[in-house]
Amino acid sequence: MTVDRPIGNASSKREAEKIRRLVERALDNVGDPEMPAVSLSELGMVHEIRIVEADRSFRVEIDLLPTFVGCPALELMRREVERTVRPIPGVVQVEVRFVSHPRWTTDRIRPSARPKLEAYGIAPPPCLTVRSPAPAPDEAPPPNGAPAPAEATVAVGASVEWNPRCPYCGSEDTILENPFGPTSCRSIFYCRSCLNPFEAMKPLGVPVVLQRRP
Amino acid sequence: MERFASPEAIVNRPDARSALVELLFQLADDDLFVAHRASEWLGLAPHIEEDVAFSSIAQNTMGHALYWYTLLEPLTGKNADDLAYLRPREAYRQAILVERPNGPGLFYENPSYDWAYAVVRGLAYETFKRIRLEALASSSYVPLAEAALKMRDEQFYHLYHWETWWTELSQSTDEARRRLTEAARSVFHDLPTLWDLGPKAETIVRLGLGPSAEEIERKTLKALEAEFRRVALSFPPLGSPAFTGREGQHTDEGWAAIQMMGEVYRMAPEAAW
Ligand SMILES: [Zn+2]
Repeated sequence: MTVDRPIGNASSKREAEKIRRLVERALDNVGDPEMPAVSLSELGMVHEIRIVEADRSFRVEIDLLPTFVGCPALELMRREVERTVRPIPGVVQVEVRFVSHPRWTTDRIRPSARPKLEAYGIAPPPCLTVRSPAPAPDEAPPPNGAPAPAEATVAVGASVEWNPRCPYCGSEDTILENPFGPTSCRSIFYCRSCLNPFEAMKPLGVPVVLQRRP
Repeated sequence: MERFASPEAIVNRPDARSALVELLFQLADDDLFVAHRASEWLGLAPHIEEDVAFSSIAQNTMGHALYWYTLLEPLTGKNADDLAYLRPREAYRQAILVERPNGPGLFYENPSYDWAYAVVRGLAYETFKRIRLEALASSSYVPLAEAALKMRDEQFYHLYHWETWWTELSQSTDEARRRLTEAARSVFHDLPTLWDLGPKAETIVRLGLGPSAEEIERKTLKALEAEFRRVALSFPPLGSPAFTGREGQHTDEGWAAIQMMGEVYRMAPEAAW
């Protein structure tokens, strides 16, 4: 979502639009420090970009949604976004904020990121459609237009078991080894088909239950 | 019910502001202590996978504490690090249960920690935390409500973790069941300290900033009873602790932990890390 602040005349409006497009393109190239295969935009972490006219140049304000509140990579992301956006001609200042509303959930991840995560060796989180008459009031609409193709449909109030596909061999015969992995947003699974351990992005804010050992 | 959309909406209302500050310190100090006690287990947990899991829980929980302190910044005019480490003893608000040490010894000197106590305390605290976060999602202070929803999503994994240990240990050996039972007796002695809301309880509830102690107590006990029933262990009696921590009284072990956590910071608060 992008929101404009009132900007003076037609030519500065055009200039602001140009800057916005450059900022969006720049953010498409800022990789997650812990998963460089996907960008912050693809992960659905970019909430709002504001181009504010400031004395014949522009200030860029970017609101990002943290995946996890205490993610230690947030400062790295902030610096990387500032470093990438600042050289855009006409930009005098970049301000990156982390906001907690709307909250980041794994269904904000763009469909285009899913094969990239898998190719990188990380199973993407389950993509679910909840059969709901209307979205809950606190939920943001799915970002960037088209939602990802659903893997399963869940009735309101129900949940499905998290059973990711092995990114190496494609098998679904996988078991949860440890919900906690090398970063906050990843868990460790084991593939009973190719006998490899693999990482999977934790579902967050979607109706999923975890496997229990028998 | 009046809603407070931002710090500006509440900062000039002394009654509401002081109740909110009180509640946020309870949330922040609880998570600070849970994270600290968890971090003391690093390298001492039963196996390496558990070190990964427990330290990840510690890191997330410290992130939650930091977020609560950050919400306190505009209400107190102080920065998060100062709020976490530079308050006097009686200004801390964590519950006694979370400040109890992991066991005899120190993490760097003859630790003789009890894993059963870690499991039962983890189960009790995270059960309580889930219920508290769910109730806080409708707080009249909007920044708090939004944070609670976000943390609830993450905290789901913490609770799952302790439920798994609880289930598996209770189905293993007689020694495990005996030790869980003993640990549960200690944890339940301090359990009521969790839901106490301290001296501003009436204002917190009246302004809808947070749920009442009675509501949290009832829901937490119900959830924990179900856990004990599921594994056929008897539900221990609740203690009646002389103080809860919410009024600013703390154990010497709790105060020692705060001093240790803030030791480096206090040497040079102006240093950049
Ligand atoms: Zn496989």
